[in-house]
Amino acid sequence: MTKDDHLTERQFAAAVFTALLSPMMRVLPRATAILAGKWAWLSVLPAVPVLLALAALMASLRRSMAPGEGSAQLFLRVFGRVLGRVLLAVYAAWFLFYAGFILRSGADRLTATVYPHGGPGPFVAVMLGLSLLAALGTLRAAGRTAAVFRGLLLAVLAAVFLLSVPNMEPENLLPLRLGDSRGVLAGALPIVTVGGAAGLFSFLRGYTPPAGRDAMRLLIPPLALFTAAAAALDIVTVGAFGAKLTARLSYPFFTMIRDLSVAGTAQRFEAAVIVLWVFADFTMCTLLLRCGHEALRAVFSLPGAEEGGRTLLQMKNGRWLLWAEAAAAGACALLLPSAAESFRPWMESLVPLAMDLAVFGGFPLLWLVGRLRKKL
Amino acid sequence: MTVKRLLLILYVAGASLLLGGCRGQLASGHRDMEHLRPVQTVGLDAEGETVILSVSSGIGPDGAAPLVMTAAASGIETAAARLQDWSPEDELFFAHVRYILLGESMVGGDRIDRVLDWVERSPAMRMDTPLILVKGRAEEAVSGSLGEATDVTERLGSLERERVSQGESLPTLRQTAGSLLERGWALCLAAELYPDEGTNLTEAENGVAIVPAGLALLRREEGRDVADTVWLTKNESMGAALLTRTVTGAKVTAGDSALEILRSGVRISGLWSGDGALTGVYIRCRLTAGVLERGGEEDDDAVTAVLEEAAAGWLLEAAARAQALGCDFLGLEDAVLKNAPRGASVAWDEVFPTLPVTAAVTAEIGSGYDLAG
Repeated sequence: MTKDDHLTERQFAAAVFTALLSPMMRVLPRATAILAGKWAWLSVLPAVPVLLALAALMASLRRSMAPGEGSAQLFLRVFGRVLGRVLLAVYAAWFLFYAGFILRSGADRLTATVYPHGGPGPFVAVMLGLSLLAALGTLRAAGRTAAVFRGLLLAVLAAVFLLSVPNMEPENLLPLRLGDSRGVLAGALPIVTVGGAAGLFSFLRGYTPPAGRDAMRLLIPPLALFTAAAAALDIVTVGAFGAKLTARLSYPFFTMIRDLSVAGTAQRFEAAVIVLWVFADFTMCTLLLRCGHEALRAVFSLPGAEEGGRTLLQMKNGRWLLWAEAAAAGACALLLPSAAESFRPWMESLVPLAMDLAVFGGFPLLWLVGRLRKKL
Repeated sequence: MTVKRLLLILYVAGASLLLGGCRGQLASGHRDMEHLRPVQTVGLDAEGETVILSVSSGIGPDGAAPLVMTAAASGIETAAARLQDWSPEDELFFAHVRYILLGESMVGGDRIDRVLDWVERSPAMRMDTPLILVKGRAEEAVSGSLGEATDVTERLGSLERERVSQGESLPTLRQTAGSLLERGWALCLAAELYPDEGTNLTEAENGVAIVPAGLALLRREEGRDVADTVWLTKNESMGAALLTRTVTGAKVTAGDSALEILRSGVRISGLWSGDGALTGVYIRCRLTAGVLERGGEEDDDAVTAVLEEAAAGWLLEAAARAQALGCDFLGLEDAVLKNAPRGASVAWDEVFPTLPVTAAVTAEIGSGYDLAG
């Protein structure tokens, strides 16, 4: 692994945050409103301790990684070469399926909001091609790109939140009645699921500098940024639409953008904002392809993706796997149900459940077994 | 942040704007700007399961007559597509619709949900479009009010300007749908197609005049996906306005005098017995009004007394209507329970319909426009 392969901690955090903006916009305002009702905007509070606990767990795992190691190597060390490889194959399958799901849901978002006459095919193909190009390059380049995207998307989010304030109605947020507060814990679940997805990217920790005792401290600022963005998203969306209308809309955040106006002089800029979210999908897909490659590399005992040379069509040292992964992700994207009614259960139940199993099932198990077997 | 990074962000932002150019390749319905016919007012009616969609493009910038079309179909989107078929040259463009008119037939059952679904699914429509309920048919309002120099959009624009001058915007589809889902009711602006008796609007000679008709209460029964409409009288509408917002600029008559309410304020409190039982609701209202035109020999004291009595009547009529409907669209519950004594327990839905309501109004005649005053 050369110096160029390394991500700085800031680049890694930027890449992870940018990637999480993709599921955040798809899941959060609607799911939290369904589960927590008027309390949706406070659901982030019970989510914080759970995400902090996950961060502590991931920091602990990170401290056990030798330089150049990521979670894939820990799975092999803790579970042995047979069970470890089986588990890594399952993770690789999940990474590729989830990459396909992101491609497909991103395409659906565009066809539902901006291009009603378009099909998902062209969007999936273009996004997959770009993600593969980025995955074939160095992670450092992907990290630097993500840092630019994060700045851009945060600026857009801040502007949208600011412009949405006049559309907010206080009675949609207050008063809150204690009797209706039971849903607030349930409302934290989607926030935890989306935020927890960051744990998957520990497969790329071999490309970041060792953190030692600072492992936990380094996770706090990105976690704070994520929870602040999630809370702001819930506040403005529920504040503008009310919890029940938010729960009823397919893409509440993007529907809300249609109503924005800059001092009555400029409006209808939702297409530009929605298209910008392609950057989040792109970053998420690139990272997932690389995570999948890390898992498969460990399964087949292959060298790193960046050790096979920089040439795009260079296939040796397992780089062909990245092409195969992209093909698998593309196939998943196109094989997912095409009707919105059939696709919705995947978005709302199956994928979040699988994500929770991968993060809150897999990593605690890794940590527990590793401690019991004194492998960590 | 380095200059290089800032430049890169600007470059990416600029480049992303160009992605809109893909529309021509991805959307088969692409039209050039000169072929777009922006729809400004949409009217919706229903006949059984059939939806009738009426559109008006508004008067063109060069004074061209508005394009007014109507189509009936099983769904709103299908009706819109049918309208488009009838206009092969120009594309009807729904991205800048200024008003949605709902005929009273479009409100009953689950039809209001169909409107909401259409607006949400149509990328062009916006949730913050003002929604007005029409007593009668919206189609008649859209197509029938086509006069020589004005059309429905202009008339609605003048209605909106008057409302804005009173410090209040028109309720939007977002607000209406949100309130209906959240609270089971929504107060909407009502309009009617014919002037009251005794008035003589010249526009009526050219077609149909659309005039404000107070408020309409759209409500949805608990556990049922159907809605119905209750048209409030002018007095009830005025009482509801005083109870739910600060009224400014509203023109009213008290006795023989014409007044403008400059400012209003309402305080609602519960009347509680010693054992913590709710025994009534007390509404305290303060009004400042200006005299627009003094009637007969009325002096300020007489006008004040008449206004106080009239305003108390508006408040009580609105409250009585809410009680009769068993629908607290005035927000009395929150106001009463906010200051409930410690330990008080109120089954609001049970006690509300029979709760005694009293109102006291203190009016003050401020600056007026009547030179004789």
